[in-house]
Amino acid sequence: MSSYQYNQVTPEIIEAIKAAAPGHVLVGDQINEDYSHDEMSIYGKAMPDVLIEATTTEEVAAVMKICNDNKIPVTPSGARTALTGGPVSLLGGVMISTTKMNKILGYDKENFVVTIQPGVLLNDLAEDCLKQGLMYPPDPGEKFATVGGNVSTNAGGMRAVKYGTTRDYVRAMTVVLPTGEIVHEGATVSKTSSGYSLLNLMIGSEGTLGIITEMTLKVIANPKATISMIVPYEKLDDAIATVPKFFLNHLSPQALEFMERDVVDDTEKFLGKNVYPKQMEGTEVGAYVLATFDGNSEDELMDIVEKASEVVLEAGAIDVLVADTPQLMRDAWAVRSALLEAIEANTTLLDECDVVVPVTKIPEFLTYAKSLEKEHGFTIKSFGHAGDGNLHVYTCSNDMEEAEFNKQVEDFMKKVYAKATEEGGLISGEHGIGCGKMEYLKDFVGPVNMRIMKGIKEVFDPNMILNPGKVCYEIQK
Amino acid sequence: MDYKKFDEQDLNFFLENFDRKRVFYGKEIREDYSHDEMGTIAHYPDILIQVVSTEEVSKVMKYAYDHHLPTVVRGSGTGLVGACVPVFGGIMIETTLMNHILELDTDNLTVTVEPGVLLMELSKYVEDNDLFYPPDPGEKSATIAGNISTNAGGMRAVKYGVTRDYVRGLTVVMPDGQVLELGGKIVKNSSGYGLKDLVIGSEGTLCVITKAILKLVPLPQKTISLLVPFDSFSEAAAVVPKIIKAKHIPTAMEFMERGTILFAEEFLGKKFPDTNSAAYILLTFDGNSKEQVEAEYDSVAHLCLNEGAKDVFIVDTDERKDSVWSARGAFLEAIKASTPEMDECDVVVPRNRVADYIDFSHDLEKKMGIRIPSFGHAGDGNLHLYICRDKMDDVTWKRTLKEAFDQLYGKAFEFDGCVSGEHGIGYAKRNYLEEDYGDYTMNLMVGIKKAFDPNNILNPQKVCEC
Ligand SMILES: Cc1cc2nc3c(=O)[nH]c(=O)nc-3n(C[C@H](O)[C@H](O)[C@H](O)COP(=O)(O)OP(=O)(O)OC[C@H]3O[C@@H](n4cnc5c(N)ncnc54)[C@H](O)[C@@H]3O)c2cc1C
Ligand SMILES: Cc1cc2nc3c(=O)[nH]c(=O)nc-3n(C[C@H](O)[C@H](O)[C@H](O)COP(=O)(O)OP(=O)(O)OC[C@H]3O[C@@H](n4cnc5c(N)ncnc54)[C@H](O)[C@@H]3O)c2cc1C
Repeated sequence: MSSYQYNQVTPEIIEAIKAAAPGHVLVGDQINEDYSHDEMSIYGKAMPDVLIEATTTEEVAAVMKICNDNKIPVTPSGARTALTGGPVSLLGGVMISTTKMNKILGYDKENFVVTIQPGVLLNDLAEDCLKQGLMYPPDPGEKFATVGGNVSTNAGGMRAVKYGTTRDYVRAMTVVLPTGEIVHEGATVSKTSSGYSLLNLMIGSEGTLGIITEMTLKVIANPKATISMIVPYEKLDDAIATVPKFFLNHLSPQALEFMERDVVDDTEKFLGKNVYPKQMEGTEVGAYVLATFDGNSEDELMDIVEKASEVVLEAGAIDVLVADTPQLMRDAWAVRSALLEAIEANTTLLDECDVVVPVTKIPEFLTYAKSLEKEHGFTIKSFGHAGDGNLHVYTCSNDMEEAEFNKQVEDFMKKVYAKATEEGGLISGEHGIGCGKMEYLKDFVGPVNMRIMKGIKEVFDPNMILNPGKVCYEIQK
Repeated sequence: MDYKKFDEQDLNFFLENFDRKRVFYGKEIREDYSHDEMGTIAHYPDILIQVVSTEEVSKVMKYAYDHHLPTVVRGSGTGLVGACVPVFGGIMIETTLMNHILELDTDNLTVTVEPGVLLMELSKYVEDNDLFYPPDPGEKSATIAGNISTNAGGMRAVKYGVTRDYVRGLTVVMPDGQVLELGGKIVKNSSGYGLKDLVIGSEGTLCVITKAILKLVPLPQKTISLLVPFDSFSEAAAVVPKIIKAKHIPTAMEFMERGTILFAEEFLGKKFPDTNSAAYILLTFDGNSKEQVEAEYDSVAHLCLNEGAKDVFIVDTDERKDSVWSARGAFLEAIKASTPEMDECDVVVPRNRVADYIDFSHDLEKKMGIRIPSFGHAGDGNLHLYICRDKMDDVTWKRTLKEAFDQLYGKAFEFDGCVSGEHGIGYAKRNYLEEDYGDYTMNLMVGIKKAFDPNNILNPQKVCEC
């Protein structure tokens, strides 16, 4: 428990902040209710007292310094699409939003990097890169998240199986530390062994160690052609068993997702679309694999598709549907992208677990999670990244009391995280810990690991003012 | 630094609790253990323990922690910055007997190894199973944990990245003897701070690695190299960013100068395919089919010829491969053999600054009247420059070395480069790290070190501690 004391924001402090960030400060009722929660309101809501819509590194630094001097809690905020309560200002205080820092500053095509401000939306960066014949590979589901948010949660996404996660694309950043100090971590260079990797420490630290105000990201040449395949199976087990076979046959899909039938049905209904086959050759489809391949020519892709088809059919797929028109490919992926939204739309009480397990353990894990449905009284929906073992499991209820739901969920989560541990997995593959998963992280990694993390936090943030109550530092409730 | 002196009682503890055959003290400790491959600093440990298990490492650390004894981990001792040298004596933990490959998982494409497995054993083992561990630092007799601890790079970094990119999970022993698991057999991880990534490249200052889960990829079916001669180094280096800009990604892009090649020929007693030109780049391509690889190297070969290459030699026969790659592998040793003493600068600069940087080093040679032979990884901007002592006396050597380093690192920082691309900071490069990062960042590193190792017993005076 914490021994750190915080102060309330006073009119004098507000004046000082206004002088430091003239014209970019909102106070009290001027702040929209949206700033009280992220996309997973179940972890609690709280309004900040002051909102800064920052525009420069210097402004962020000046505000940070005032808050540090006065021991005012500060919460960094991007597009607020997080799923673990990361951008919620649990103690009120000051929130620094990066959404106005949304400029792409420039490309360096000889070193294959792009430099951007943190509030650039993933969607905007991806599109702008394409215009340059480049690709920014990380591709998390929510395209209207900020790239600063993505870096802070080490967001994963669909293409991680081939291209890795956000971490693998961050070369350098400018960071405002909790003391107001401005530091630069990393460099444009492509490798380094120069002391502890503070760059890597900053990535995935969920706004608890510093506020990222500029980033240099690695980009790659855009693959010239892509093609997707929808592969229906009778059972999920067979679908997952195919995954390693792709790699062993030298097939390197850009994305490799699995979906169960019920979730696809719900989503198609939600979208008013009918894309996925439900019954084939007299067999009822139980699960799908959706794979995308990329390459340098149509010919190369046709070879790949042929080989991949052989592999999946041998592994027990009912059939293969090649999405060879742009329309079909868009439709197939539109369903994949809307899975969470459809679940959200159909559910009043929702919680999530984002475990990652070794790929081969996916069916075992999901069977176990499903087997708990009845005893806890909620429905379980799941989908995930088959290629990298990252699963999203949702507990959904439309008729439980919230308190009861929370109690049941807590119990359920303990069990499934224990199962994940037993299988050699981890608590979060890509959504982070925030405040929603801290209790479980504690159980999971143990006291030594937690102590080290908190020790690191104290080094960066001696007054513990930056995003208190997140990841590894608990506040008194 | 106030450590307890290693005494009789400490010695007895180790003699009683460890296999006598794996404990060495006093005169029993070979001279090798007092330095690494570069040999710029030397100090013996009081005791050397060849550990065989995580439990043993934990037992040593706990004892060291309770008795405030400085402790250093050593792999093969092939480091180049004095990182494994026990500058305060005390305990040395050697990992080379922990050299077992524990599991090959062909479904998840991982291999689990003990820390002392040698790089060459690992690559052979996985390649025999039609898989590939891409990181390929020059020294194949280094241990895998040594590679992880220095975030070793190597020849294939352009296409495949560095050691960091292949470490999925680590088992580590903390300075007080507690055992932690970081990461796992999994691809993604957003579960708290990236401690695994912090440990990678920390040069044995934060904890001791006792097990690693490494990522593998399928073995490329076809590999071919091109040796491309140029009239000047500037021309050779200028081609590199152009190749990348044209969206070709060779597996390796190395540059070499005639002088260095001649040393290697002499050192190995082997002929290089061609030594008529001033500078060469060596390019490697890999892929899954002959056609794919040929198409790729064909367009790169044309690009090089249009950019002033004098010729393009295809390195496809076993004999040619051997002569080219064994020369490339011997550069460091060959340069070392050419002079009584040398020291190294392993800077990394953005790849489009390589040509300017090497030109600068040539000018510096002339200006200072010294020899600075170099070679390096042109594709990723990581250069190895060697300042040779040749006939200098002690005083002149010290002064010259400092001046040359000041100039070389200063230039690298001007180009937004870093002190080390792959060899680390260790003992030898701390001042330059400090110069680059400044007090504030260095203090953060010291703070992190304290969070892991509050009593500062693990590899003191390295990386961030000056
Ligand atoms: C429909 C949907 C689908 C999703 N799919 C995926 C997916 O496939 N993969 C995935 O990984 N995630 C996914 N997410 C989660 C979410 O989009 C990501 O976590 C995203 O990275 C958050 O970015 P944001 O800009 O919304 O950040 P926020 O939610 O505003 O903040 C997230 C965290 O980052 C911190 N932060 C934000 N900006 C900065 C900064 N500049 N400096 C320091 N700290 C900062 C905040 O304090 C907070 O702790 C999904 C979410 C939704 C709603
Ligand atoms: C001819 C030659 C060529 C080389 N080429 C390259 C190259 O291309 N790329 C490159 O990156 N390097 C290269 N090196 C440098 C060297 O091989 C690497 O730094 C290597 O990673 C060191 O491994 P080692 O087992 O010898 O470690 P050591 O030298 O024994 O130790 C290096 C550091 O790692 C720490 N360490 C070792 N084991 C552990 C452990 N289990 N847990 C925690 N810390 C540990 C030590 O304390 C020390 O700080 C070369 C060296 C030589 C001599």
